[in-house]
Amino acid sequence: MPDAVLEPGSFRDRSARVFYHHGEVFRALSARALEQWEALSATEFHARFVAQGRMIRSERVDLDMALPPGAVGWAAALRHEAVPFVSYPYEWSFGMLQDAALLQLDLLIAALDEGLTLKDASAYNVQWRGTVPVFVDVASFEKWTPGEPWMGYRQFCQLFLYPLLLVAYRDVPFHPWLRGSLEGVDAESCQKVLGVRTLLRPGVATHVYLQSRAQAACADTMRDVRAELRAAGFNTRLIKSNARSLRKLVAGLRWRRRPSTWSEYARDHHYNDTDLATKTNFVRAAAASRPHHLAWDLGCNTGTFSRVAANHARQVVAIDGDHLAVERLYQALKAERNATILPLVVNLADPSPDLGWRLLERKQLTARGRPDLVLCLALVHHLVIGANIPLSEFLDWLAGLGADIVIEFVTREDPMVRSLLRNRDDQYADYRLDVFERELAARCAVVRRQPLACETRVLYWARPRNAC
Amino acid sequence: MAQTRILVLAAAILLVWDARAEAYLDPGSGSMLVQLLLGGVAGLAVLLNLFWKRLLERFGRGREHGAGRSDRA
Repeated sequence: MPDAVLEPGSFRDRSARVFYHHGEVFRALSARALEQWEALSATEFHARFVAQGRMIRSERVDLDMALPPGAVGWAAALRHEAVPFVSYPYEWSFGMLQDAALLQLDLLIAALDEGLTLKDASAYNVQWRGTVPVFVDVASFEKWTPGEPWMGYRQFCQLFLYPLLLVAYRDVPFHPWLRGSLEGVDAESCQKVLGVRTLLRPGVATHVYLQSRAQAACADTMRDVRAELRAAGFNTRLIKSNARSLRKLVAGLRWRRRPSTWSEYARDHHYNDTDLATKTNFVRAAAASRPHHLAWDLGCNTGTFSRVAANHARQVVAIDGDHLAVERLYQALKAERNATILPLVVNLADPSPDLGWRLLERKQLTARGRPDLVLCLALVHHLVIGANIPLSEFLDWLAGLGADIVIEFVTREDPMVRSLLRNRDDQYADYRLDVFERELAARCAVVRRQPLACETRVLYWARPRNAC
Repeated sequence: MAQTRILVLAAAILLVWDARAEAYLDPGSGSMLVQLLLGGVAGLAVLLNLFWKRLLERFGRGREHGAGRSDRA
């Protein structure tokens, strides 16, 4: 099959490899991984988690039919149900990372009950269907070898527990850290950030301090600790006890939320009802004009317009740079059991880059799926004035997505813009309505234009000329 | 229960202080040992067993049990 391509980020586990073909997701398995898959697929918990939508649905396919050219040494292939949009832990809110951690622990406990275990605990093995976390790496399961400890414990701490503790106990956001280190937060660094004041908080003395100390003490050891534990009779009761206590710890973590600028925006901002209705109808008209596969709501805030778009799109990715705003949106959508809208923490002025080995392991947003509808409401002034991004460059990027655009321009007379300009040198000669309209028209056909009654805001529905 | 925890903690600390000045960095070993402490009461017996084997080894009787130092170099 000439057009099957390997996923460049799927190389760490040598017993399995993800690849794509005709837009579908496959996983090649070694003979050993095939044996493990057969054990997994025969379990009750696998069927249960798949039925609940918490584990990816997989089916075995003909090996010769699926493999990419040059792929040799594989014993079998699986076809996976695709997730609507791939996201990474450094784009999730606190509650999302917490729920992903709970899924990981639930799977470990359920697997141990049926004689299997998880050989790793990467947060990247969890993806989302709306607000439902889905475990995607079926090759992480293997039969438990008697005497074997939980090999994923350290990774669980680094990619789940420590980032959550930083937010819950110190209000330190984990996003820059996880983005800066794909391995996560190490125990020693976590200990230093948490400090002695948190020593008596749940989980700190054991999972952070003791583990950090143990790692330092054993770093140079020549002992085969794995063999020692096996000989001493390590058993699944220990793993389950640890996993249950971790589950209780993680489930009990709370982020003491301080109000942020944008989490209070909808509450404090006085859109009058007429303008809100006009704006909602405008977005609805653009969204309903044709079926959309993927909509992006840039600067989604409370998600009011993500919800409008969700009625006419298979998937909506709701993006905001404000962690607290996204956390609140996630919790609201989760309570609604929303499976269409995926909220993500992304600052568009500093978005997720390509990362990892050869910069191919984790991808920038646009490489993970192109939208066919983009909402960009009350955002341009933040990028042009707040982040000093030239208007023309922003419109270049936006039009380059090739999607229908619903964009709002907020004029200099608006209180929000006046507030942004306060205490700044006004170097934003390009931030004017006439310049905006000229620049937009240079790149897009404007389908509809709608001034709001407040007279400081104008809505546009535009279609990039390269997409017409 | 409190006494058990203190005993486990003390034994764990004794274990993890068993440092060696060699070249390889292996933070995973420390995380594996910590799991004994986090395994609750179930970890206690294993911990004492491990501790006993190390003691025997120290006095030259443990190597025949086959779980001592590896030959990695």
